[in-house]
Amino acid sequence: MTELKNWITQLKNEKPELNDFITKLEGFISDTGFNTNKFEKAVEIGLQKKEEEVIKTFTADA
Amino acid sequence: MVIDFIKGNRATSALIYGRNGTGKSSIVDAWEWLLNFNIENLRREGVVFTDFPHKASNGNNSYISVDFQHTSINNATAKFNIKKISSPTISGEYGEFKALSKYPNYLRYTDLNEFICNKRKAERYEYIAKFFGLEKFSLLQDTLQATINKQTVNLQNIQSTFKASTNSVNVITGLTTVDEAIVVNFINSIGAKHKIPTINTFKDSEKVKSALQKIVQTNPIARELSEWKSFQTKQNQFYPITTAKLNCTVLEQLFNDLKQNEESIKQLILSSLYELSIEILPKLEDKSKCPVCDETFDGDLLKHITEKHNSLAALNKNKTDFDTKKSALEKQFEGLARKVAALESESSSVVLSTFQSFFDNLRIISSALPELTTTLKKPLKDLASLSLSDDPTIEKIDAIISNEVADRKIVADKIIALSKDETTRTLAQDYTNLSNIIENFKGYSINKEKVTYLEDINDKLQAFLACLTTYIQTIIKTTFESISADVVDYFNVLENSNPDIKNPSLKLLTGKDKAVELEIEFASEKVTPAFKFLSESQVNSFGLAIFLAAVKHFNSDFKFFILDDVVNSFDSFKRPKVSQLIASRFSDFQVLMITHDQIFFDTVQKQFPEWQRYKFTSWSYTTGPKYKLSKNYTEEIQEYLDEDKPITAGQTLGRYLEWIFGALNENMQTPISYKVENVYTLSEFYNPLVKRFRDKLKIANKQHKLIVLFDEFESSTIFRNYCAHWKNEANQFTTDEIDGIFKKWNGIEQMIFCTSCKSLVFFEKADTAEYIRCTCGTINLKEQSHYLTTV
Repeated sequence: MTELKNWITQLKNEKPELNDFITKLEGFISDTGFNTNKFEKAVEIGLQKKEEEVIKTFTADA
Repeated sequence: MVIDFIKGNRATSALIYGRNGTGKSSIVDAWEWLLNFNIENLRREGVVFTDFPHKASNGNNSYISVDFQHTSINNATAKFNIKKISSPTISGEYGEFKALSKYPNYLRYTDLNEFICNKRKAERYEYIAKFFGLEKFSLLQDTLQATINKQTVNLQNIQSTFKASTNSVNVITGLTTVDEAIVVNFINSIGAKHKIPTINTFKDSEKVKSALQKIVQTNPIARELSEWKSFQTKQNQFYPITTAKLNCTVLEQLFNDLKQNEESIKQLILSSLYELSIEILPKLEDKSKCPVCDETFDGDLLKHITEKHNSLAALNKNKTDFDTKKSALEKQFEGLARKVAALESESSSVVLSTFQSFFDNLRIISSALPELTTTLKKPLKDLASLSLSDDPTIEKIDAIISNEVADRKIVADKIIALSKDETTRTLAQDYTNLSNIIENFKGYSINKEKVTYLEDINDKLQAFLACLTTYIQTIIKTTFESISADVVDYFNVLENSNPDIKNPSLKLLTGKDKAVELEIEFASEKVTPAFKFLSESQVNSFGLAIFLAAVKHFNSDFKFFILDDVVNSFDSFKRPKVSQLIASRFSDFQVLMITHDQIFFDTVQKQFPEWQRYKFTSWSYTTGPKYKLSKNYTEEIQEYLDEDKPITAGQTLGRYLEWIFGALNENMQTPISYKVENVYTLSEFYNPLVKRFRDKLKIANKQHKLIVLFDEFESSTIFRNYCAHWKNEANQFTTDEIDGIFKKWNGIEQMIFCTSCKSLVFFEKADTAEYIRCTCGTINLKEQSHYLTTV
């Protein structure tokens, strides 16, 4: 039987298109499952960054 | 305390017996903690890590240590770490031990009970996943699914905002698509009308707005018109507002009804306590003990509390009604606060002065709403009084509502009056359109990016979850396939008295992520779900068979398991089959068997005399379980004989013979005269039993060796006397007399008890043939070798 960590490593090899995403997800995965709260905060920060990036494009060149 | 698995220099299994509350289950908890640094079922009940060590130890010197007879592992120890409570300090060859003991190897009665009681397919999936070593995978699956659900809602909200921005842009441009070129073209078309230089990109849009604003500023009418139009847009978003007065009055009425006297408040507190007890009681080992005061209740405590709770049904209904209305009012206030905040930012001096009273009311509402919301969030018991309907804020809200039509008309009239001059009207409209398209295109661009970002995350999360689900399902399927022969075998051992029920199997339901159904063959036909025909006890056998097969499959490098009170929900005739199963299929395993059932304890003691046996007699705060090494009947009788205590030896032998004669009569299907009081003397058990053996083993001109032994047993008048008077202490049998009976009976028992499968012989009829044999067939009393030829 595969350990959770080994399975994740194996999945990264099998699905290279998900490799980067799974690497990011690993930070939220532990023996107690998936840290939903921590992930939600990370998504919120990601959304905030996206907003800031778009807002920057609204600013006219000096 | 120490549990010794060595007896007579040989490694063996162990058996623990104790009444409820003597600390048996703590042994399993300790083992779970050693393996996982956690005790899941306790944690689920709110027990924290610091509660695990003995209370008086303050976490110091609390440890679980296991010694091994192994080529490279001598010891594995985990010591509670007060500095890092979730990470014990490990020592010995803990890592090597953990590498071998990877899968769950302990089963509690509560686990089996969950398997039976939880008729939900997903719950059984959890049970199976746990014992197939997939608990962490399954936990990840659950938490990941919860995350995806939340992010899906998040995405829907952003998509909805994105759609609103898109619609607003389309309404302004009159087109059906949105992109930067379209928006820039629209802005340039307005700019061209007012001789403002053309722009090439959206980021220069503010330049056009600024230029147009300057033109508007030079035209006071256009400026005022644009301010009114802007306020009209906000006004449209502000209304409708619903009155809070009625909701407040209804809530106050409910509050006063609930709090009208001290008694109902007490009852409400009790109701919460009853609810909690109804939830907790089924999970407790001792269901008759009150979880609050620890007193034992004489009767069905759960039923009693449920009745008490039901008697408060009317009060509970009012309380639920109150909570629902309170929550609705709370949401109403929160929504109103958001709307007020959007209007409070108004900066137009002409608007502010026209609606001075309106904005004064808004300020009062804005400052009072947080306090009202805080009051509503308080639990009922903490509210001394509730008077919202008379609050000035509620009056102000109603004032705003009653003025809605008039206020809207004022704004509409202002716009009409100021729009009379076409140039001014066009200028104001252009400025409004320009401001709105810029604002909405910004919203559109931001939300478009957010939607793309979140869609990508959700798609990948879904893909990851799909891989995980497929993996778990594949493992469950392949594992079950690989252990299914064992599951069937073990189930059939436990359920061999039901020839119509056999071959249990697991079915993973397609199209459902977490659903397992039990299938059984009933009268040669496959039946799903198996609950249609299986009793709870039979489902229990299914669950135990899955656990034992999983243990055998996964723990081939660590041959040890614990069964904690699992026979609890088994019928009495099936309990010995559990030990027969262990004897016949797990002879190469070490077992720790825990039970609070005296008869099962006696059975296992008899069947496994080589096991180490403990009797937990009591529990104390300072020392934990108090225990002594236990002896089975045979050992006990021999000890009394050795100590020349014939009376005690005779009484113990009597109790033992009563038990064995009863079991044999059941096995042999002996006809016995029925007695209402269900009290039989030894003779009343013994005579029909021997007659039954004589009848079933009779062959012409041959004498069965067992019958010879029975004849010798009865030849002494002492035995007849003993049968009649063993309970009477006045009759003094000598040690030699009791020893004689005991030895002769042991001789008989050797012929009828199989030490391999741990069963007494039983009568069986198959087709036309009759058998008297043990479960595994090693003993077959009908074999010719058991007969002596007579002349």
